[in-house]
Amino acid sequence: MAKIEFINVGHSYDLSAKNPVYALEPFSLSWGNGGRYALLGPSGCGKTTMLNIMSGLVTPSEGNVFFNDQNITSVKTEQRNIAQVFQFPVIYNTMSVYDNLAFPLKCRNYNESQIRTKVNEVAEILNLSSFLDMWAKGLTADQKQLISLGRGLVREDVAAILMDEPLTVIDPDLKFKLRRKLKEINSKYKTTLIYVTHDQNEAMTFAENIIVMDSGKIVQSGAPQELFERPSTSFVAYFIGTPAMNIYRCSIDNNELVLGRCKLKIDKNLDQIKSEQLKVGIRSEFIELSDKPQENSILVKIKTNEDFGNYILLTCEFDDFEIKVKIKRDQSISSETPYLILPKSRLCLYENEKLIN
Amino acid sequence: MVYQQFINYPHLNVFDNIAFPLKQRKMKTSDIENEVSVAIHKVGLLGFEKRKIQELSGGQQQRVALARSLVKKAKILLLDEPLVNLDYKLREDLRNEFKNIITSDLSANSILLYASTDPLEAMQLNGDIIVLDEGKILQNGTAKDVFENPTNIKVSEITNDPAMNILKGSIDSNKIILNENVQFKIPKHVKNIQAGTYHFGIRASDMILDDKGFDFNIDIAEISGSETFLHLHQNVLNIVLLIEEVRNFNENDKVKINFNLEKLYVFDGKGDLLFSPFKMN
Repeated sequence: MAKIEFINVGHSYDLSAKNPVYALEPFSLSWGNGGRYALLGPSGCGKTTMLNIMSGLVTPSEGNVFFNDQNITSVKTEQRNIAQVFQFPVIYNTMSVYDNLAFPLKCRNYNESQIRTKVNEVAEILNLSSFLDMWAKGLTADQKQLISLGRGLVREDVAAILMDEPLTVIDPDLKFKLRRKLKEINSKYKTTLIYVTHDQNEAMTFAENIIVMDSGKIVQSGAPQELFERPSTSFVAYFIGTPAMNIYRCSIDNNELVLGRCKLKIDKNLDQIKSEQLKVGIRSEFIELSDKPQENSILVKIKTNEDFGNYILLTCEFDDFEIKVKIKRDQSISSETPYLILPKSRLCLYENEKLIN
Repeated sequence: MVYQQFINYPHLNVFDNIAFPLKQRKMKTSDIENEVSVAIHKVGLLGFEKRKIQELSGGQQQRVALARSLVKKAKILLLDEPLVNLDYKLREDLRNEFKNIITSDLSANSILLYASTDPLEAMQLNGDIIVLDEGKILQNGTAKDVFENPTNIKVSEITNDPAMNILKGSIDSNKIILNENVQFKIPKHVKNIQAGTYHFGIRASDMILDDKGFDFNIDIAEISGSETFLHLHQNVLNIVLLIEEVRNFNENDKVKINFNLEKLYVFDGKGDLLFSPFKMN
């Protein structure tokens, strides 16, 4: 186990070009020991490059990588004590499940009884005990993926287990079980788990800390709730959550936000803000309906009312704006032109697409 | 038809892909251009007319397939899980868009048949729903009616995400008993029910966190979109509870929960609906 640090790490695949294009723009970030992390972003955003730098498959064109304060930037993959799980299970088909799990230990000259103890322990956790004597070849995709994971778990010297979209080939019902297993393993072994995915739901469910990436940049790193409530850029506000956050251009007048003909109060001193590029956002979940005007309320007209079963999504209009509001299915709507209350503590203000804290 | 896989003519550009059925009909070139440009505008591919199919993203390819099916102005439009192979955010965007495009395009005497495993898509289309399982039609009705009054347990599973909580229990001396700890009064809409064993149904969205409620243990908190699904258990009683925001929970923590009993369903031993919180037809 190790603390992993990236200091000014950046990577371009073609340095000979006049203006090298970064697959990963220089950044610094540290991964704490025993944490559960997700790298989340659309395809081509640089997630896999970051993972490959960590494992040593790619040497960054800039910056340094540290494991426990030791600079390992040029250390080879096999000397880094990193375990990897890929999209498709990588196992030794000609070996039994037991031998698959024992392999990393045999390579490191553990003795027979040490191997037996460790393999049995890990097999127990992964529910593979009854399969130990079977050929790995005959197992289902999810069991094979558990073996890939198990090979990382048998070693106590593993700095981190890196997983690149590990649930791609797994049936939806089993995904749920495997995700739970991963969390269980993390709390038992305190192994740092780093999980790459383009799927918000997987990232949000799995990770304590999500690193959101877009076009080679880290746009936000934080807990799921933080990403949802205080997305640091308008991209995150769109990418996290269903529906995307309501976001509008706005201006400031007399310490209030001006949005068309509406004025909104916000929990911030606006004196210092001069930018023309201002946007204000609010989640559909945090808007309330009212019959009467109140602080931070706007009069709207309901355009559509969609019944999703678990909730109703109202699409409302005011001036030229459209605003989506999530309400409970049994909440009564007394008027087609209700007031919407936008609680000031729930408003997010963006200057040049970045959240003002 | 529009399929799960993105099916287009790989050797033709976007315009020609959409124009194909019209050319087959030997429509006049000027009319084809009109029809295709209207369709391209509708599906949001303006400026992409000359692009090759391979240069498009999955979402754009599916827009081409939809546009081609729209220009035919067919009496029946079949869509077979058109969004299932797309990323989550794109799926959400297109779910909204496709609904608006298709519903605005349907003429009074044409039919849209949309196959899906996603209750959200079925609900959002807000038409009639036919619930199928193992080759049998289980129920057929308006989206609202199927959602509110599922005729049996299977339908309640298929039409809800997460599936409705189905809890085995009994009724005895005017009480609903799920186990020795979880018991409550019979709600008003469950009238004249006899003592015996039943299946009780309650949606994940009709359960709440409540300091005065029953103790449950958290198995896992799943976050989907903006919602948190808490998977809970107490002894052998497993329940999923839905919270309409993103919240952090730890596995094996304890929570107290309660049931919104006004929303309780009762199914008989065979799984058929006996009592619904909504008016039954």
